[in-house]
Amino acid sequence: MKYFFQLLLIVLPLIASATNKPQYAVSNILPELLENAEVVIREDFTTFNVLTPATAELKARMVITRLRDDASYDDLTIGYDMHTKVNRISAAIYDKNGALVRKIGKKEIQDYSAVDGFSIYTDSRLKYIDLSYGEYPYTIEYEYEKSYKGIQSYPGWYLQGFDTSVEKSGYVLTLANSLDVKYEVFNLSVEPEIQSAGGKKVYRWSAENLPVIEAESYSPSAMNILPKVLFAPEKFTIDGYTGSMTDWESFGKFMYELNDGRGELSAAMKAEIKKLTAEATTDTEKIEVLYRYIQDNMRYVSVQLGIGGWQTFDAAYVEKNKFGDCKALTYFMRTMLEEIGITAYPALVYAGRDKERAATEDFTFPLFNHVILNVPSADYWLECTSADSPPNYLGTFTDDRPVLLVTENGGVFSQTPTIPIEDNLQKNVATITLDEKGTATVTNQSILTGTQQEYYRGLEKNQSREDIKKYFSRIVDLPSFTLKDYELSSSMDAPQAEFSYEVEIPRYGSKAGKRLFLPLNVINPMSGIPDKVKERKFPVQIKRGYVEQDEFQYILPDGTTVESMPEKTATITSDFGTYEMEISQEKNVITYRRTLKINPITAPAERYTDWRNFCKEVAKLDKMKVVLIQEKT
Amino acid sequence: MTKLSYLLLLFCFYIANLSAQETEMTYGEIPAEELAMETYYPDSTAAAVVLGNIGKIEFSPFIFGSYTLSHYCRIKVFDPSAFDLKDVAIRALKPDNSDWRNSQSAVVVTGRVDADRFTEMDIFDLQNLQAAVVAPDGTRIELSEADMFEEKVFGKVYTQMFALPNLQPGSVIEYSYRLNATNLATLQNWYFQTSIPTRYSELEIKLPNWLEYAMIMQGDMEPTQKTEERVQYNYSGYGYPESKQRYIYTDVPALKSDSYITTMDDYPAGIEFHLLRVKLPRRIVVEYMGKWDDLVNKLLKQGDRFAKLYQKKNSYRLLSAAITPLLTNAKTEREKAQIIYDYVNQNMEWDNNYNVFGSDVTLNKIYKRRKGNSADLNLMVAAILQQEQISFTPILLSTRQHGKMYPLHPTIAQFNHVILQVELDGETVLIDATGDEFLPLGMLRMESLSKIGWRVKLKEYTWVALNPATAADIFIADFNLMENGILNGKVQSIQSGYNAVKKRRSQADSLMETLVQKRLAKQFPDVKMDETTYKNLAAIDKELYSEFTCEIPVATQSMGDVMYFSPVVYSDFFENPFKLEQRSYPIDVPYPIQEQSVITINLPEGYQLEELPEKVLLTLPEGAGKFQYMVTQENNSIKLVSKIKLDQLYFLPEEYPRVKGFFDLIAAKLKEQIVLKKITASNN
Repeated sequence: MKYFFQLLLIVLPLIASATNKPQYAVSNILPELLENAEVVIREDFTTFNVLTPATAELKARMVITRLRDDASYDDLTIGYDMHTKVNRISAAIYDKNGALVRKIGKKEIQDYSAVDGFSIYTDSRLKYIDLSYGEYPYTIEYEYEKSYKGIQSYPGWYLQGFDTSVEKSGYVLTLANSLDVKYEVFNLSVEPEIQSAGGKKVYRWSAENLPVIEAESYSPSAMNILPKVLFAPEKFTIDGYTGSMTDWESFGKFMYELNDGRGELSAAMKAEIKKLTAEATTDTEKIEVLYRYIQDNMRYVSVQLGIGGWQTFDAAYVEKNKFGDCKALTYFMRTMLEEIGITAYPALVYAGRDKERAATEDFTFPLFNHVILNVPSADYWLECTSADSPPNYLGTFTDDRPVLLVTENGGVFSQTPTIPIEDNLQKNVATITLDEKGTATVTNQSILTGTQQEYYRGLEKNQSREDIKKYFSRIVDLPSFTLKDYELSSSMDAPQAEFSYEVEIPRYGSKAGKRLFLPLNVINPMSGIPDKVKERKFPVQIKRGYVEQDEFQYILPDGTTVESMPEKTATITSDFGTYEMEISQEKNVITYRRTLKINPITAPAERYTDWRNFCKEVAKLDKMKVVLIQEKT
Repeated sequence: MTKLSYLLLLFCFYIANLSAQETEMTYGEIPAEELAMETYYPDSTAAAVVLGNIGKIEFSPFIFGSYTLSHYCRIKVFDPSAFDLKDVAIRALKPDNSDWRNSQSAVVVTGRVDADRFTEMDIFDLQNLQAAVVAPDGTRIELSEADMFEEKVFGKVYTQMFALPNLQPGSVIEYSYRLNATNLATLQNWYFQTSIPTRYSELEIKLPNWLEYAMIMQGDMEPTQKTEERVQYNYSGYGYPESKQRYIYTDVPALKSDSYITTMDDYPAGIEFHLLRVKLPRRIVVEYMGKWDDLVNKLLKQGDRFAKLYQKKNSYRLLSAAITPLLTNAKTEREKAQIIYDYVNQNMEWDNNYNVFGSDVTLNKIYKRRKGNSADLNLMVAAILQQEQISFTPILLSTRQHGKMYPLHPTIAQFNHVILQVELDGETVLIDATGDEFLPLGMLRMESLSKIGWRVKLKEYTWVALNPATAADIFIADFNLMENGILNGKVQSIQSGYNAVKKRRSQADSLMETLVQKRLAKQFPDVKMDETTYKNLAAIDKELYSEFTCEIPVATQSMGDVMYFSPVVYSDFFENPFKLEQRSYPIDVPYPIQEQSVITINLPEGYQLEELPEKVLLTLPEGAGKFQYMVTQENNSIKLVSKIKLDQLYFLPEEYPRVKGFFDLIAAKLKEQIVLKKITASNN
């Protein structure tokens, strides 16, 4: 009987609270919070109560007004796994006046396996509730509780996404006195109120009336703009492993221990390694031979099981299956190197073209989703999940960003190399032979290096020759043409690709009576000028630099002379980049040379117009034409 | 209607006198030469090839008809890194919320899935699912349950995938399973062609004399071999004749996708099955398809979630209470229909699902959610039209993504959407109230442009043509050309049909630059434009007018005393939309297109005309398309008229070069230049 009453106490307040809520009326929202908003967060309160390093309780409550049908938050999705349990969920929908439309019934809570689209198996699951309602605006309200038996990290306080404003938001972190935490506030100025009572420490953060933040192009990535608070516990325990986020050294130590002793190779494998490296004399040769072995024999497959994807499968698993996820392949490579006496360290990293998230040196929060391998003695970095990448090339996936090296002495905060601007090169050397009708035969030879070769390498490795031929017009952007032939190759030793083609373009030059108009840069013009904007908020950020070098020779048809030629040289210099163009003529050959260099840069918001103007100027110069005139015969 | 010229096979086979090629393929027995095989000669670039794909379908008379599908598939992999896991996927249907690995309920199919064919009563029993990866050296790894995982496709349909351990260049993958199903109508389409080449593909089906399917051959390939023989089914004294049919396809090329098509599912070689009737001995004949009459009856008289939704007053009481007061001042049928359409379109949200049937048994329940599928919303309109005694007919169709329809086959599965044909004061209007705020009454959602639809009317059912409105874009400009080469002046644009829908939507998304302005800015990066003023921006049923002034600084290039410029400053066809040299699939354009430029340019003082582009009139055969281009001089000004029209919506692959050539010439013509020369003393 006693139990019965306890149950009632927990359940009653919620059900009783789901009645009409006039305070949720949309008319109560401040006009400045409605401006450009798709969603208004009315209330967002999270309480995270940490009892021991391994156990905690989470309570979350949210009230959200959705203003448009394409806005986010049309569902509630709560993830859980073997370490967490969802104890209670309630949700309700209110119309624009705050009148209750309906409460969500138990039957509406669905339970799914969290299929993420790329992992082959995962033990994560989801609780899911559809919170859509067709009449806008409307308000949703939900609450849930989750308990933790095993803590990997504390949930962060993420206040808002793009196109979202916030009325009230708060986060309460309660810690047993024996525990400690560091925190860091990003993109917001807010200080916690800290109290100590009853054997507990309580941190309270709160914020209100945050207007909408809108996404902008060429800006720092979302993670570096949106407000959030993250926590680094001094001590956490999961599956019997205890770790700390006090500093990178101790967190790295935890990662080391978690993965230690999982690298036992079979005798056959050991013999194979010996055989493979027998001929190699230097360390770099040995590394490359083994890297090639992994590339040729192992496949990348994502497997997310166990300790939140932090613990690797052992070497025997990889050896048997010939596949693994990033951890498994990286640790396997490390074990192989260890076998021949070369020390290598797994490096945790946040992968992605946009350099989205970056861990910082003075705050230990593991913003990582991938692992690569560093060989300090050779200063080598190896991407072990790629079958196509040359050794020691990280590329746009993991270049130029912070990493945590996992060493036997703990974590070492480090940085992957930046590819020098000049190494990201696209060089085009073309000959364009024209006839009197304006038809051009174009042969172009391109050399691509660094980030510029990634697309072409991918094309060569993943597409059939037949497909490349068929879809050639999507690969090179030229006016309607006929493909004669092409060659595409990429080096397995260096980040370099070579691409050449011969095409015929029937109406390359356009005719007007006896005149023929000849555009000078059809092969590689600037495209995609940044959009005009009214008010720029965030800095302009160009994340990577590159260089384009073009040399085009135009062979003019017999019996034509140049009637009009644009300026023979042009130069644009800006801190965003430089552009140089030069035209020369010798008899019936016009030579056009162009160099465009784009610098990686972060500039203040007001410089956005300068960036746009730079692109516009380049695009304008790329459109120049020569006018030829048919001689009277 | 060449699109519909498929081969129809209603069991009127010649008994082929071919000796069936015997292909022995048994799970667990891979011949050494297949392990050693290094390339597949018909397509040496293929990353993998289906060595054999063998299906057997048998029927049992018990439990009022059921079928068993046995499937064996063997794939040779040459390049594991270029190999897509989806190539060895099985598409499956599982009940909601159940873990498919722990359940015996799954339907296994590949290709297009008609979720509508399944009912909650169906039982699927997947047995003996086994799969293995065999390395070229013969090392064999049998897959365990842990190596199998699933991916949601849509609704209840899942793809069963395999992780492939120890996959090496040269490995062979094989899998087999058996599926028992209780509902004969769930027999899915069978495909002989997939995204990798296929060496051998076979389907054997033993059709009892008590069962009839319409079997529709798909794709443009003929089977290599087709046989039919009579056999006898015997089970402890109970027996009947069966027709044993075998279809064999050999060396089937890989299926490759393309642009300007409806859906790839329309193109692979395969057989579609539509259950016609079951006539078991000593039982009454059950017609599944039989006649259009039955289909109409089912929709209009028997079924719950179609006509009953709008015929029964109780079904739409709440909806009626909301809309009826708005109708009090409406006089004409058109005014009423407009109010009903606007109400449903603006107040109900479409859940992005198309369906022929409503999602609940009353419209009240759907109204309470303010959200529903395409049938829910359009039948809501039907309900109030019915109440107001405005006559209408539902029209069923298949959306562009859903694929083609079969005018000869009365099956419900070919449709996935219902719209309304309404008589308003003697005028016929189509209604598709699926929540698009920029779509005026009378126009269909772009996805619904299926060219034909089926009218659901007792005794008067028929296929009807759905002719979409032209998407027109008219650009009128009055420019002054300055001596320094700058063009400035006033631009007017008129957009109608789907162009107006598009433009209104983009205008709502971004207040900065309109679609017309964006297109101008693409051509002239440093164009300066004033803000646009609009007429009819909110009146979505009218043409949209917009107007702005602009200055184009580098519209011209000059050298010495000569000035050159191209008079066409605005077009969607500066680049040919058809760039591929060849094409294997038909071109399917959703609606007719029209683009027109009328540009007047006043020349600067002291210049005279040296060269004008020639006028041109270009047509595609049978009025399919037309391009007119003409520049004329009037006193000191030039007038350009350019008109592009595309009226035919469907072109066969053979017609592709002609269509491509048409747009090539347009692109070239639009770039042609006018040459002006300064009048010097000696000229005079």
